[in-house]
Amino acid sequence: MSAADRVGSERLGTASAAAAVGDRARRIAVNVALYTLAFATALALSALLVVVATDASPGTVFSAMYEGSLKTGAARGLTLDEATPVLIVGLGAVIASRAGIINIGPEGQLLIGATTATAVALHAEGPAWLVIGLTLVAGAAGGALWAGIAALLRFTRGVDVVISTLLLNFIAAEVVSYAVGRPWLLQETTSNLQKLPQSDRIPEELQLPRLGSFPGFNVSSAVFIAAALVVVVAFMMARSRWGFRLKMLGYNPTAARKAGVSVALMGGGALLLSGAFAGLSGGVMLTGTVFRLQPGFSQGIGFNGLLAALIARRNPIAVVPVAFFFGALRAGGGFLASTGVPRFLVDIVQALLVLAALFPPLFLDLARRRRELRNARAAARRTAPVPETVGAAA
Amino acid sequence: MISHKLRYLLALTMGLVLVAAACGGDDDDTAGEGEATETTEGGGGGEDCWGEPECVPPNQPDVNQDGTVKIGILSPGDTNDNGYYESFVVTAREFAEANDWELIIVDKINPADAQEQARNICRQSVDMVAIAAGELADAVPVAEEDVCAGTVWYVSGGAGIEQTPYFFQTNDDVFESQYTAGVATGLVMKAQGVTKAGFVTGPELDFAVNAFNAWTAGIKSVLPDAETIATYTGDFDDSAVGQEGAQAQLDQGVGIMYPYLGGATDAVAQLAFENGVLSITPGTDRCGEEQFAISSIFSPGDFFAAALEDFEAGKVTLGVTRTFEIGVDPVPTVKICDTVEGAADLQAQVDDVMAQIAAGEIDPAAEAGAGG
Repeated sequence: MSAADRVGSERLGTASAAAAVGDRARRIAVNVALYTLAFATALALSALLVVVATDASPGTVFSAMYEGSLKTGAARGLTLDEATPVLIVGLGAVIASRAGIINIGPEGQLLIGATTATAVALHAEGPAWLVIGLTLVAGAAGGALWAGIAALLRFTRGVDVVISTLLLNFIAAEVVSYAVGRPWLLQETTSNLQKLPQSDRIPEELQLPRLGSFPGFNVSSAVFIAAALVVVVAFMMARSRWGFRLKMLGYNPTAARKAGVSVALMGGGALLLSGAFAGLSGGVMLTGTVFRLQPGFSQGIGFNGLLAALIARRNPIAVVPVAFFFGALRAGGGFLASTGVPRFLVDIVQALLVLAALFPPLFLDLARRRRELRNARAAARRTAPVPETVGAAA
Repeated sequence: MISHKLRYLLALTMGLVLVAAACGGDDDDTAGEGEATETTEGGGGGEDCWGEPECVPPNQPDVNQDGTVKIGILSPGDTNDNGYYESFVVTAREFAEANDWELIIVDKINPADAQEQARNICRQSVDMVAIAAGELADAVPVAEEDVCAGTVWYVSGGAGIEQTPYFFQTNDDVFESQYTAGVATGLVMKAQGVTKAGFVTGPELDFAVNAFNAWTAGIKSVLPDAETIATYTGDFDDSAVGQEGAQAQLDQGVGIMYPYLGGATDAVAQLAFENGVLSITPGTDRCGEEQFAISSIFSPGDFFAAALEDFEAGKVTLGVTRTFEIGVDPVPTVKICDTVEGAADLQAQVDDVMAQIAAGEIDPAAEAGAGG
């Protein structure tokens, strides 16, 4: 290569790097603008609703949301407590979606995981650390088992995973209701005349330790389990052969199959793993915050985790701040309700903020697809053979 | 590229935890919370008996001495259900308005979230935390936590929950009230020539099953050959499934309907009425409405009213249970409505049964065991 060629090549490289930086800056600016617009709209709509439906001022409402989620040490701890299971479910959903599988069933997998975890926590014997470990493993196994049904249906009978996982949520809820309503299964053994449809509370020594105490910052040690999982999942996805194959499968199953990837093994494994994360989340909630199984145990955490993965655009690192956002919303919403703002309004404000978080990635994804379609059509037009006209033939 | 991502990841995850922890330490926090706790304990005026047996908290009703009386209500059900849960807040609202107290209502609480909601309500500097039903019993241990120090706790316990020194509760005997409702139903069926009665309820919970058994026993004490049908819809508030269950019973020819429900009560009673069948109210007195033949009155609002009166008078004693007995207290009771011909005569017979229960001549629980 001549000196002139080298200079030309370097200039080309510099120009391309500058273009990449410019492109990145533009993407960031678009993201910031979209998020600002979405959140401003959500807050404005929430404020309008508050003014119309209650005597409270929007300022009071937003201030209560802040006070309940971030203002104090206790509130920040609660936010982390709420974010932890969302994060774990979200990580599982990211794994499945990387493989091109949309698992709509984390809510049910979480419930089944919590059920198996409860059974182990209440019946296993041994040192507390061992039983806690077994409880969490049982939770993960229960979630994986439940997701395994959908995997089996998908890879042996071709049943759509979206449909099967969605329907399995309803069955899981009924399974839990049945289990906690039967004394010979998991119903509480209280001396009260009225036995409620819930399990016994797990013993205190089986509850995950809390760090700190009220009114200062205090949080369940489950947060470290979640943090460790983030590291492991991000590392495995970025650095391992498994992560590469998973990505390949998600992008193009046909190409992945031709490259020697077993679609059933990788896809089914991803779904099972996703279920295991949801089930583990159930175990973490049981041992970290709720302490007994009840029909409403999941509290929408499974769906929150799914949304977190969607907003994070399949990126395990991005799930962390998104889960934190959901945790803050849940903690702030609970506090807001306790100030006397009607529950329906709290739910609407929370939903608007979630929609605001969802809007930019969905909008950008839609824009990208339209752009790709437009480019593909343009390319097709450029390469299409020109038909010979009758006149030309003559 | 990858290592950059990993560094970012580590910084972000650990940062969130550690920064929050660090910030938490210096906040210690919440001047408001700390002060509220101190004030309330100080408000005890040296008579700090919290946690001791039969403690009468000082300074009732402004227990925390902040110049206002605030009542925080936690309800698992919808407080706009036109029935059981609504009655709880209606009474409290009337009482609060009459005494210039402030009321905070948090309803539709998931039992799994009860503890956190209890902590949140305590952070509003309330003087009393009132729990509308035993389903939220998991919130009760929060009464012992610092965040709720110096707050009076009341539980409308239904059949009752395990008593601790940190709260007082009112309860009633589901067998007594439902057996009496069954007797009234049997009398109305006899007067109207009806032999089949329907019971539509939510999930197959112990108290719902006990209520059905006691009600059936009451009916059979009047009409031994009467037939009763129970439908468990799985949801006290879902009007659609409630109506489905009721329609199935109407198709089987039931002549009187007991919607032992929450928010779905009105939809079921209306459907029954459109089919020429009268209903029994589950909890409140609604004899002024044409759809109802009997009011089975065990509304938690009536029990709560008694508790609020004690609170206003400074007489609330923690760690005790007050049981409302049929035939002894004004509630629970059963009323035959004027929509039924000869209501006064039938009422006299019901009153007689209530008196017998109060005197111990009838044991509704035992009867329900036999009848169920």
